[in-house]
Amino acid sequence: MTPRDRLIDLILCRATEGLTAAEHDEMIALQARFPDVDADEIELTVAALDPVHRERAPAPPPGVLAKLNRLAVQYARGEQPAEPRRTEPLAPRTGRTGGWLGWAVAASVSIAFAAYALWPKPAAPALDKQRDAFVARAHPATFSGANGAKASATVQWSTAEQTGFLEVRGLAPNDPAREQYQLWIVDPAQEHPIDAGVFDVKSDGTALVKMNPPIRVSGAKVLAITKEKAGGVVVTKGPHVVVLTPEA
Amino acid sequence: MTVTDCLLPRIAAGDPAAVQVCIARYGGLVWGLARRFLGNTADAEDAVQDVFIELWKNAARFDPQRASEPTYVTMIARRRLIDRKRRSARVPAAQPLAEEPPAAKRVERIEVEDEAARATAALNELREEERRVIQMAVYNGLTHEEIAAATGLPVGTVKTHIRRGLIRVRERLGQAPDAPAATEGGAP
Repeated sequence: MTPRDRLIDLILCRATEGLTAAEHDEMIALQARFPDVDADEIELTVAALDPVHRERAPAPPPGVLAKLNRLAVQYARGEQPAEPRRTEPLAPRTGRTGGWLGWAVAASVSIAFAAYALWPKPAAPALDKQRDAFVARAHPATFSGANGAKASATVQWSTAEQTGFLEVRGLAPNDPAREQYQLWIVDPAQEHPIDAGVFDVKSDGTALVKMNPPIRVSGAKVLAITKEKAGGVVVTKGPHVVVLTPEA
Repeated sequence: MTVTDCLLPRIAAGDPAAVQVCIARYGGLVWGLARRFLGNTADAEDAVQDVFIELWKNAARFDPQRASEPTYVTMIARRRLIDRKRRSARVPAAQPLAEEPPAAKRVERIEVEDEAARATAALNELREEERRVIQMAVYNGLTHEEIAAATGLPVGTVKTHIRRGLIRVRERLGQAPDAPAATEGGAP
């Protein structure tokens, strides 16, 4: 079986019976090699054939509907960007030889960033529960880092689910009207690091936020936190407040 | 449904009202899928919330030129539910193998979404062996190995039939609704 056939085989399995985590990672890697293979084509075809379209849709129970409507309110509120989407031109890339891993540990390097997005504001006891459920369900990879004795950060990230949670402790509280912290994901599959959003640190030095990157993350290798002006930036000059690396 | 009726572009643009309407429009579809895949009401309740969050997050990726909105919603839901089913290692409620697509339930339907109706028509134009394995995989939720055991075909042959059949269905969906079917055997 050629690698291309293997990719199509994996896409077919995903559409009909699902993939293991290892198979999913293999599919992502092969998709990078064969970008002309359209993964959604097969899944959309299967979706069109699903018998659900020929059945009378059962109404969800009232309790489920109520939960969904609450979720919709929370989602809509949380996704409101703090500032309009920025349209700053990308800064020219500077010559570098260390690769993205080097970027993550090097301070004061100007980098162009292509994507911009915000995630829901840290809110809530409910977010704690969401995170716990996510960890139990998705078995995410853990990244951690510290800055001095007090400041630390942990990210739990699932490539399969394309989401994760960042928790920080001991960081200096920020004034959201003037400055915000910003998280970046270093993904070797992307030409530029992925802007994973801005967040605020509460007066007790903590923050818990859910990550919703605007583009697909194939494989997070390193994450970094910077402090920027309110709303975040598309070009950062650092320094990195915390660099998070994978836990063994 | 016309493109202008689509909700996902509005959600992607940040319209909070569209998020609520999305639940009203697709809550039943997602709930039906969740019940079928998970077979357990408690699991299904959790799953529909996951599905809608995933749907909203992926709203910007919906392209009305490639698929109808109900088909896209179904794709996102199926992907999420299949993953969830695998993680929980639960087997969905046993369903009898369908000799025919569950068209008998059409008496209950209000309206079959156009793209789905054309997909089913295209499925019915396939060779018998291709149609049968696709029905087993999509309608009955059988794995490729289970289909191989049920039919006596090698797993590789099962995959080949599914792959070729789905490609042919997709080709038909990409054609004008009244275009003649491709000659049998013309697909790769």
